[in-house]
Amino acid sequence: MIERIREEARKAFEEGKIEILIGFGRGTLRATPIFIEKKEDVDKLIWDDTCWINLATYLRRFRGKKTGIVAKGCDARSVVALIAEKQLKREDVYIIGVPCQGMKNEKGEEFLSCRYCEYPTPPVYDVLVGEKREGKKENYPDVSEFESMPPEKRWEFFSEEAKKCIRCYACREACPMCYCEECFVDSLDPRWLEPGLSLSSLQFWHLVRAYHQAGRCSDCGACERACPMDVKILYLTRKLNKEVRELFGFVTGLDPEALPPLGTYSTEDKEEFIL
Amino acid sequence: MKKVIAFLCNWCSYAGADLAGVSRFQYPPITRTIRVPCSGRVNPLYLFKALYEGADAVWVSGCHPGDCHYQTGNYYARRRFAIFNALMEYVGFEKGRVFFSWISASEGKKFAETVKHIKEEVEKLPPRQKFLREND
Amino acid sequence: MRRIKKEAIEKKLKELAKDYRIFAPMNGDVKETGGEFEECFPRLSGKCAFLPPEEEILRYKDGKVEETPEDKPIILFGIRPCDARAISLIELAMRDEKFPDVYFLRKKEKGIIISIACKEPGDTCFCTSFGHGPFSTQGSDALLVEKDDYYLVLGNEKFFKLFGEGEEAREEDKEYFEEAKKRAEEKIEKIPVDNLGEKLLSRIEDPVWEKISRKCLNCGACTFLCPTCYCFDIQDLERSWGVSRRRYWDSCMFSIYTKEASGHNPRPTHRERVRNRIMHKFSYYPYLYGEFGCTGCGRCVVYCPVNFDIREVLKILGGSG
Repeated sequence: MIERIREEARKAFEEGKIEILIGFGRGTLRATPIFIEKKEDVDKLIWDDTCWINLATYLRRFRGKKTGIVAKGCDARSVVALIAEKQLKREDVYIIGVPCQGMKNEKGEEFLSCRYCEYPTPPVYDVLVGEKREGKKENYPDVSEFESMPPEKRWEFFSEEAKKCIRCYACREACPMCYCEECFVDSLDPRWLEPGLSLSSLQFWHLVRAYHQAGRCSDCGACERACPMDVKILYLTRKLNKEVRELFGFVTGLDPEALPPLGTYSTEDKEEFIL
Repeated sequence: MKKVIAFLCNWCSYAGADLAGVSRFQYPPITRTIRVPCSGRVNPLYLFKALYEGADAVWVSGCHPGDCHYQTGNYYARRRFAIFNALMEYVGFEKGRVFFSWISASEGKKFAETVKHIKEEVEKLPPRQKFLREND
Repeated sequence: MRRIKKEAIEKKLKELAKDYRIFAPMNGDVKETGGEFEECFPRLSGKCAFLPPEEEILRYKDGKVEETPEDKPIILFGIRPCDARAISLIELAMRDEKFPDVYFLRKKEKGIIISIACKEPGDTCFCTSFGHGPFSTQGSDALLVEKDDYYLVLGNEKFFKLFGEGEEAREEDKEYFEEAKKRAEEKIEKIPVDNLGEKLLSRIEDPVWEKISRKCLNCGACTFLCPTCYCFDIQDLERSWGVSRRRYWDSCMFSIYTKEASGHNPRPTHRERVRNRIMHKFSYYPYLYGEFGCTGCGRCVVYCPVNFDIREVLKILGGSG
């Protein structure tokens, strides 16, 4: 696999398709993002099951440059979502797609988002390295389980998780879709929520960040893994993914032409909740 | 007295409230109205913020589907609020604090009745405890 | 060196919880406890005791300013020597002649810091690079070394007054101490830091910064978990009774940290922000206070989402990598 990735990267440089390539290299603890600017350096690229950062996060830094990206399924879906939101031009991005074997934590356990991954193979790519992999069709069993808990228990869980947060915003920064020029938490006028670690402020942050991801999240799980405090985040974002699929029949990151579900509408949308 | 922050669209629901007034339909004085050009103008962040600051309930009301002054604003709103509802319910925030309605400029009666309905719903609930900005 | 029964210290700590606020590692982080503690290398460092993530400094009430009254004195127990040292490094900055930080200093002056020697340093530790190590006593009122059901104690009067004197350490204890110290120190990677401050300063415009900083996401994980990062922000918050002035941890990694009212940002990208973090710790700090602003605890290495490794950066910039 690694050899194939390097080979495709080299070819892309030689054919002038890319000026810079975002990929994974050997870090001191695990795979780390690297940025390759000449073909001689492609041998620094690696691939293993610690490549869990979503590299699409970096793409906007290189806007206007022909940028290559080594992308697993979820990374590629984020790229597509960014294109759909007009943050990138399709022709500026060269996707070296890698069918993903699933990522693991330092204990060797597969991450939640990988366990239920539906799209290990990038749905959109310029070149695919290796054989396509089938995804799982499990329809969010973890979300259903959470939904079946009584509301008080759900609130308690939500509060306990939010309480761990120290507001370092690693989740936000690791997320390719969190690209607002000014995040609502940083805004002083209006000041949406207070600084500090009061429970309601932390809940505010977690609710609104999850909300902002509705219909945009590719379920890569980078936010949760980036969190130094081990706050659970995916149970929120995955719920909204499920909801967006059930209500609007939309799956993020499959089609760069598709409008984001909250940026469009259907006259047939359900409205039982409206008086 | 309970406080409900009501985001009313200028063209329909706000006019509906107006009609309720000139028609002398009685309704409980629980709403604090914020006039918005369109229900599609209501950023869900406003709802989070209103609840965070202590509103007993929030209420967004716009034109009936098909009647939006800007053609489609309420359709966008409908999607947003479907997601908002789903998220709040999912995390276990109590039901009966978030309301959405379509009320046209000619539905003064419906406006008054909706306020009454909201009051009844909110009064069923204990005082707010969850998701409140620290204030002491 | 003295030796005191573990039990005695643990019991005493619980008793002291009446008159002191006890901070200790618990469930993986340093937090306020009722005298319990856990033997571990905590994620949130010892700075939480003296510079909490959020703290009220004054109130504006009925037209008058009320200073927040002093709380009970603090005992910070069971942290590693690197964290204890870190607090003494923060103190250097807080003890500024013109602008001493009264809120930090009043806690620090009455507080007691008791560290437990680090017999099993981690793979990401590099504390010995800065001339100290896993058995360093700088910043600690007492250093405890576990031996069977005893602690060997190197402490000052403040400590012994509270916890009792125990008995004189035996010859074998001293040998044990020296051996454990040597063994721990040997495990730790040493990074050359000679003239690092000047080297960094001379390379301030070096294009290498762009390369180094590229992968940084500019989240605040490293700075919040760092035991020596002390930046804070002050904001006034509205309360039912008036205004509460509070300070919060802030991070030079955030883009809004330096953003000016005009909208101009003198540190506009990851390059300037990362450079500042490194320069502050390894160039400005030694220039101002004569010590590096880093204890080599390795937290920023472990918890960085993108594996930004400060050791590598120091090797590159220090000319050894």
